[in-house]
Amino acid sequence: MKRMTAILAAALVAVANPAFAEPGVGEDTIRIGIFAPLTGSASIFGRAAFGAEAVYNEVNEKGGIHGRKIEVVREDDGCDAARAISAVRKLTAQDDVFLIHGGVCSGTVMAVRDDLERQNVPFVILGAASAGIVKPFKKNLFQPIPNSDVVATQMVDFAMSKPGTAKIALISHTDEWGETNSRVATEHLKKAYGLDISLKLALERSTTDATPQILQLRNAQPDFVLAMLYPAETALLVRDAHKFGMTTPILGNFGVSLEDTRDRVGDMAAMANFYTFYAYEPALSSAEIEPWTKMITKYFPDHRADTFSYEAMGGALAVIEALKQAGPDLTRDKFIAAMESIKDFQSGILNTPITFSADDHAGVNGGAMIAYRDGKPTVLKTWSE
Amino acid sequence: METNDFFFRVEDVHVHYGKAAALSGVSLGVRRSEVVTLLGANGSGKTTLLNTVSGFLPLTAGDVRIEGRSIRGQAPHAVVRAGVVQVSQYRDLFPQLSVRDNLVLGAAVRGDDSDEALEGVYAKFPRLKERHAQKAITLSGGEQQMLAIGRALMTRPEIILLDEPSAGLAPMFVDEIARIMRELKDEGRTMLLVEQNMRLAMNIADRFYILRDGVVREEGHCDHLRANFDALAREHYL
Amino acid sequence: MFAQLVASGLVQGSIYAVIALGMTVLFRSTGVVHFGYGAFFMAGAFAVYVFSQVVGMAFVLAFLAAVAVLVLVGMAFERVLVRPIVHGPHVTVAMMTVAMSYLLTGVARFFWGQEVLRMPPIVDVPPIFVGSIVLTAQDLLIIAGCMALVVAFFLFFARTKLGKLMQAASQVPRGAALVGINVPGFHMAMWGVVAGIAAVAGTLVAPVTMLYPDMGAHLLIKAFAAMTFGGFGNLGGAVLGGLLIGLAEQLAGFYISTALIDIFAYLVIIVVLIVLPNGILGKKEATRV
Ligand SMILES: Nc1ncnc2c1ncn2[C@@H]1O[C@H](COP(=O)(O)OP(=O)(O)OP(=O)(O)O)[C@@H](O)[C@H]1O
Ligand SMILES: [Mg+2]
Repeated sequence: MKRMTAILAAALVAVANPAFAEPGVGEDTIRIGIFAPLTGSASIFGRAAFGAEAVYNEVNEKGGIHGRKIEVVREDDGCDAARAISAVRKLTAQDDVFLIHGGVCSGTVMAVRDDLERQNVPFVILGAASAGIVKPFKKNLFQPIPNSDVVATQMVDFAMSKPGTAKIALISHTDEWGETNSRVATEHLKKAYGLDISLKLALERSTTDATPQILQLRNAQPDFVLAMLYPAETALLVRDAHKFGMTTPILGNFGVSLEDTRDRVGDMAAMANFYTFYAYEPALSSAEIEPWTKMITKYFPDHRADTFSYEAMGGALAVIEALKQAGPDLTRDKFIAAMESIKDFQSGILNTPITFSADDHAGVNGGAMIAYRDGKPTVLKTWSE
Repeated sequence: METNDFFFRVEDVHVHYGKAAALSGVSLGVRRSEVVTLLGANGSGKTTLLNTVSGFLPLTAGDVRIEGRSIRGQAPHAVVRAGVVQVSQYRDLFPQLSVRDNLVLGAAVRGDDSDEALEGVYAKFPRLKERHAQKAITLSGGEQQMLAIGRALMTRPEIILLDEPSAGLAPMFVDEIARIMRELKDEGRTMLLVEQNMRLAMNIADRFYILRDGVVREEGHCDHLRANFDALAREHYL
Repeated sequence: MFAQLVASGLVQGSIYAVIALGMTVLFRSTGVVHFGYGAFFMAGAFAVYVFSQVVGMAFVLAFLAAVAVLVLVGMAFERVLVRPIVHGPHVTVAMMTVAMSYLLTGVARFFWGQEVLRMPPIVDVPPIFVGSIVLTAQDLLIIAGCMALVVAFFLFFARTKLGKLMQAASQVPRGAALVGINVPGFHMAMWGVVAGIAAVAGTLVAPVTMLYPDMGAHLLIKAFAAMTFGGFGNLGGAVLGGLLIGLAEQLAGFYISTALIDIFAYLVIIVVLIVLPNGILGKKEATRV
């Protein structure tokens, strides 16, 4: 009787997992879970999910990885921590995914991070840029996009790349995000260039007028303004700066798209002195970005691609690379080791190569700025370019 | 008693506050140009009846008719427009508005020439004319009662329901109110007068009804009331 | 510099004033404190957007259509959501207005959760320079539009019979009913009117703030502060309070700290409630005869 049970159990396991014991890996499939805000106000950032999924579909069409096709299970978290927790639970327990490529809002990532670490599920970040995600270090967690520390540093470096820059002003939200960004920029400016921020201003979320801020900036006459602001408030700043004839260059943060800002400001002339952080190699709406856009619209014909649509495509390509290197006998540990061995990986979409190591999972250590030059979005690594 | 010539009638009205019955089949009638008084001890249901007629309270059964038309279940403003106006126990004046504005608003819905009506009210209540710019809240109790009656007249009612117009007033004002009541009666106004003050009521009214625990216990001509005043007062007020 | 701050403060203040005005008008005429008024404002802005940008109507027509739609929405909300509970406790009605806010915001999120929409300015002309002051045509329109609304409502309440009736009806609904006024009908009309005000405000402000489903929430706090400052329920107080808060935000933001701008409204609410509970123009009003 005991033997019978054992045989039956073995048979059942064999039926469920014909050759491999590893979750989410079948004979000819690898299941990947994606979670992101697909609805609600954060869903503009959630567009990254479609870029990633398009990349996975594309590799499937080219024959897959070691004979396996990628199966994507997509969940909506609405940028809400509680929903993210249940989405991830569903993905791991019910859908039995091999890895998770998800998380656009830092709050959702923080909410599921420890649980995934305990289960040793590889967790590749889709779009959440907070540097706090990879601190403290977690073996299973990878961030293949420029994080907030990288962005703040790049903004300072870009300003300092203009010869003669001596005064840098900073305007920021007073929330956690704004304060963290401001602190990193301030510290980097001090450490790398021995300078202090000359003027620090606050601009609250949902504000509809930036007159006092602009007038203070006009008085102080800095060489640059670093704007640690969300898209709507960045647009407000740019618009009011133009209204009051301020010509100081304004540098926008990651998450603020050039085109979106232009649409919000509604005035090309106002955009002349605006630069924003840019993670991609090809400029927006250039011929070079076209193939990437086509890749997305091929699988999602209704998708209106914009900045955030491309955000996770580099990460998806890195995942594919690691899956290839991990070999046909795929396990989670092998995958994590393969991710850590990725060095200077040129994704073609990100302007900075992806590099992971055994003790650093922040994969993208640079970026660029983008601005309108002769009416065309132009990627600038340094001011004089 | 001949009842088919009633101009205004309440027919077998039942009203409940929650489960408690406040009126249990009240019927009464008023002829045109008649003054009828509704008497009864505290809590017997007089105010309840007026508020039911005025549309502030829903009735569980029965009907209210004016000139044969039912106004049962109509909203308060519709009841006023049908010609039935109430001068309530609490007067319900507009405290922050002047005497004049209170009166003018009384005629607002009728939409006719209020100047004439206004002069008519002022003629009846010279005290109100003197105080026409004063805020209602600053009037004395008796003056407020005059204003409430004046405002009711401004709506050009077919029948006026008065809820204890003399309650809480100084004797001088009680006499004044009695004089006004009589004047209104002499003008041929139709009135249903709720009163605690039996003497005042029986000297003005033509007929009476006595309510007790939501039921009409006694009715008749005021001559009868005068003749049996002590007995009736003892029986129904104690 | 000072003049510019005053000018911008007046523009901001006008917006706060008009939202506070709408809420005060409703409070004065129905006794309801409308926590969903910010969402009405948002709905007004989106309605103009839909009619002008999606349907493609001429601006003036789109504006009129939006006002009409909002008036109907306001009336429908009164009839369907408020009237059945109006005799219940005040807090029930207040919660209902919160629910309205979620309902409208939810609908807007459903259709436009993804994007922030830009409403083109009503008149597209370059900024105007008055001495050292810069003002856009939109700024001037906002001030003019808001002031026109304010004056219109002042005259309405203080001078017209209907205006007096409405206030009377709200203070003593029974008394109003006893002179033949259809009080519920009045309330419904006033819900329509204030929703219309919200549509006007939304139209004026949308080109400045852009459209997103949560755009009203922020203004609601400012409007509350304005109402508290000026004396809750006081028409002139709400307007004055709005203008003063707009001015104070700008001046404090420039001369003291930009971090003060947003907490200013909250500070006003707290300080006024403690020091001057009836606001700067409020006086104790006896409500019953
Ligand atoms: N809102 C109410 N809820 C419950 N019971 C009520 C309500 N109003 C009145 N009642 C009760 O109904 C009964 C009749 O009250 P009503 O006010 O009609 O009496 P009344 O004859 O007008 O008395 P008074 O002479 O004191 O004015 C009383 O027992 C009273 O307690
Ligand atoms: Mg009574």
